[in-house]
Amino acid sequence: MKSRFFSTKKFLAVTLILALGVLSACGKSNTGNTGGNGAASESGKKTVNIGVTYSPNTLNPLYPVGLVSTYVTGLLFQPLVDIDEDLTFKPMLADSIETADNKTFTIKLNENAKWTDGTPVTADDVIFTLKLMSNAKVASTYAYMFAILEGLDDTGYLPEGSEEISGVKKVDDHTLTMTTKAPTTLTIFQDTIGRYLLTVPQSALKDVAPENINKSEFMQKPTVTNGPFKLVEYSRDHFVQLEANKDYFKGAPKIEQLNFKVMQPTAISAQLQSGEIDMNIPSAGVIPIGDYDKIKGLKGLTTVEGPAIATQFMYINEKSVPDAKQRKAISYAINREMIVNNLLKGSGEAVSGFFTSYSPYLDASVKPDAYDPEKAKSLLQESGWDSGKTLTLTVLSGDSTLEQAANIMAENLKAAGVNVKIQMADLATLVDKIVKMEYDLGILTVSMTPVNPLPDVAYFLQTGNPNGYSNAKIDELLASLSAETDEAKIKQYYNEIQQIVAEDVPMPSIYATKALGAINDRVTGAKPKDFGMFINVNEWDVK
Amino acid sequence: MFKYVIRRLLIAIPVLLGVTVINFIIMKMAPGNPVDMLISPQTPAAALEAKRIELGLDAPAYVQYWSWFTHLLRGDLGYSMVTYEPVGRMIFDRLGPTLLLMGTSLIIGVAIAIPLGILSARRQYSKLDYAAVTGSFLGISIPNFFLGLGLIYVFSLWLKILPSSGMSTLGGNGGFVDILLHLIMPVIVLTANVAGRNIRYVRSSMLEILEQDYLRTARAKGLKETLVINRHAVRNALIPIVTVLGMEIPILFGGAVVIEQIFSWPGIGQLTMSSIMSRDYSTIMGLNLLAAVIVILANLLTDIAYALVDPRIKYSK
Repeated sequence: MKSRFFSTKKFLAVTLILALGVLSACGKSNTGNTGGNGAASESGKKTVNIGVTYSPNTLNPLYPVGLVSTYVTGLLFQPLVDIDEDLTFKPMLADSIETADNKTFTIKLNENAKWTDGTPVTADDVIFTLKLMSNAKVASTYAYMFAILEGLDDTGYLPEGSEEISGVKKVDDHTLTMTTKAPTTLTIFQDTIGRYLLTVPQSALKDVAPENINKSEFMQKPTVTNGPFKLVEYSRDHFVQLEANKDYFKGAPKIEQLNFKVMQPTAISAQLQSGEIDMNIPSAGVIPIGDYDKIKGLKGLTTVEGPAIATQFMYINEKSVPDAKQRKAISYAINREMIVNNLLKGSGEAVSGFFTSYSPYLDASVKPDAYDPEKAKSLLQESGWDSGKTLTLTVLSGDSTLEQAANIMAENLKAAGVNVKIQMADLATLVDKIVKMEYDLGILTVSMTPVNPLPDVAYFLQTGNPNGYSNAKIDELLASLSAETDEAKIKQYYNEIQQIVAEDVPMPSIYATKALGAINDRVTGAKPKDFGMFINVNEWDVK
Repeated sequence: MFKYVIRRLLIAIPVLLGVTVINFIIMKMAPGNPVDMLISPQTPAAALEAKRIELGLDAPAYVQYWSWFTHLLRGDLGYSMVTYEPVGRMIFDRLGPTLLLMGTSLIIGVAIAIPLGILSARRQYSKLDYAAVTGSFLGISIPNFFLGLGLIYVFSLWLKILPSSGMSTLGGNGGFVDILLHLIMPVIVLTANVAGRNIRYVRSSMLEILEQDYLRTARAKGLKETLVINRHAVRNALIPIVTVLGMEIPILFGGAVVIEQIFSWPGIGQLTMSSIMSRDYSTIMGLNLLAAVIVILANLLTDIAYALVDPRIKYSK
């Protein structure tokens, strides 16, 4: 008996000692590793860590998949111009893009721009890239951005048999011109070709067959780049590690390392607090709304509330809800104010049309549908709504705020006399249902390009859209918009669309969130924002 | 024995094939496809069609499977439909971290479960026994994600002594200590699970043995108590445990999915999640094949180990 007791004790003692040993060991070696400015002091390098909640799926500049890919790839391969927070375009690889007649655009490249192998970035590289992106075998999903160019088809592909793009001409090593099929505003040119043509080096890729280009080693781990940072290591769902490109043409970055760390949304606030990340990207490093107050209260952090961009739209299948009165009733029945004030705690805005307050095209005379359950009921009665009918509301899973908002909407609709059943779906399932029109109501987040919303608006409203909505007047307005270069007229057309949409309610929006950005005060010169965050990245510094 | 192993391996081949076929069918039946994930309102239908052709998704399903299969025979798992990385390399890169995490957890978990299970059986209804049983219930019933988040709160936010995610400090010089620090929390979570499950198995198996007549005989012979326990009881009690441990490996693979998400551990689990979410067919197929191979191998190893520890079992054919 005694020996047994002894062995128990010994066992416990050994376990305890081991546990303590492990703990104290980490305590010692890890001091200063995670707190405050750990990452910088540890390796002696000036490092900035950015938290993101989506993985950078590819670093392929021919078509980055998703927001984070776009940001990271843009740091390696600079776009011609980039859009800033105030919706103006800043020169990047191009010093200037100019046009006299809205058809021929002259692009002057920065003459100091150099590849990391020391050779200059030339007009030939730009044309080479454009040809790759417009090659159907590469199947770049960004090719449509270039469909406005002469010599490319409506999908943005070079017709089979042609070798050259007729609308693109080299003037000298650092100058080229591009001609569009129809008159195009400079804004649209900059927003498509300016932002999405990420020039790749001809010297490194000229021997790779186009059909193998996506699978090539270069696209997995680009070695010759022209941006402010160079790739060190990339682990898809985990991190991207970049180091400064000392020869960057706009001036060597002051920080030596820039890391993107992929994490769960709930981890963002924890890692901001522990100092493991210095900042987030508002819409790509999503902080759950429940953490807003906590983060705003943290010392040593500055928070920035962005503009309302990400908008929740409700797809309404016209086969299930055929009458405009019924759709208007659905819009009236939803208590948007309550969602914004209570659920979003004010970090958002109630919307029912296509544009948020951030859009230059918002028609302020069209007010969002206010909560009015009585009106909803009477509209439903007028239209002869069958109260026994149940609609399925398909909601994207994973966004806890949206899930709660969907519950509120379902309750609201039930109170107004529309039976709603909620169904959760992952993105692939939801998109599949919407595209095949196998849904009644569906909610999806849409972040519209603020300066050129036409492609989005056209997709949602044009005949053949996934709502099943069709209106000849709208089709006409969309066609006029695509050929208009006069801003005043463009604004007027958008106003008309908003007025029609307010009556027909083909696809009401519910609310738009203002994404929160947070940044550690040790980083200077940077500001978390969805547009233009990295334009001045070479001037960022750490204290 | 040797013949038996060969026979089992040969049987494994049709089983694996069946698994891949079933997986392929289920995967294809799930709504959505890799091209859907690229749909942004602006993308024209013709561009999506071009993408479909480029990925080979325009062919009938059986042709797609056949093409995957013939490539497999040549040792080629294909390319990811999202990143264009070779699937084989992707899986290989992720296997190391997962094996490190699982291996450590399994070893520590078993190292805790076996002695604690034996002790608690020998001293049934003692304080230690109650503590062990309660602890084991806690280990099983606390959800992994909850324990994980709790640990992050305590060790990363409050005490600030452990990094909350990843496998190494970015930009740091890596090294053994760095990885060890990142390993501690995920290992604690998985170990709690493994130990929790197995303490109960060991304890009940040991309790059963302790009632056996041959132990009374051994004691009556005047053998020392330690000898009775170590030689006669423990050895026999561990036989069923071998089976349980064999089952532990597939379970750990499943548990790693959650843990790797929480701790951003760059392993197989995280890859599995992201490839399913983006309907990355070729990667899903590769991962599924790996999982099937692991389950089959784990079962085979269990059976072999069983024969080695239990002389009553012989595989004659």
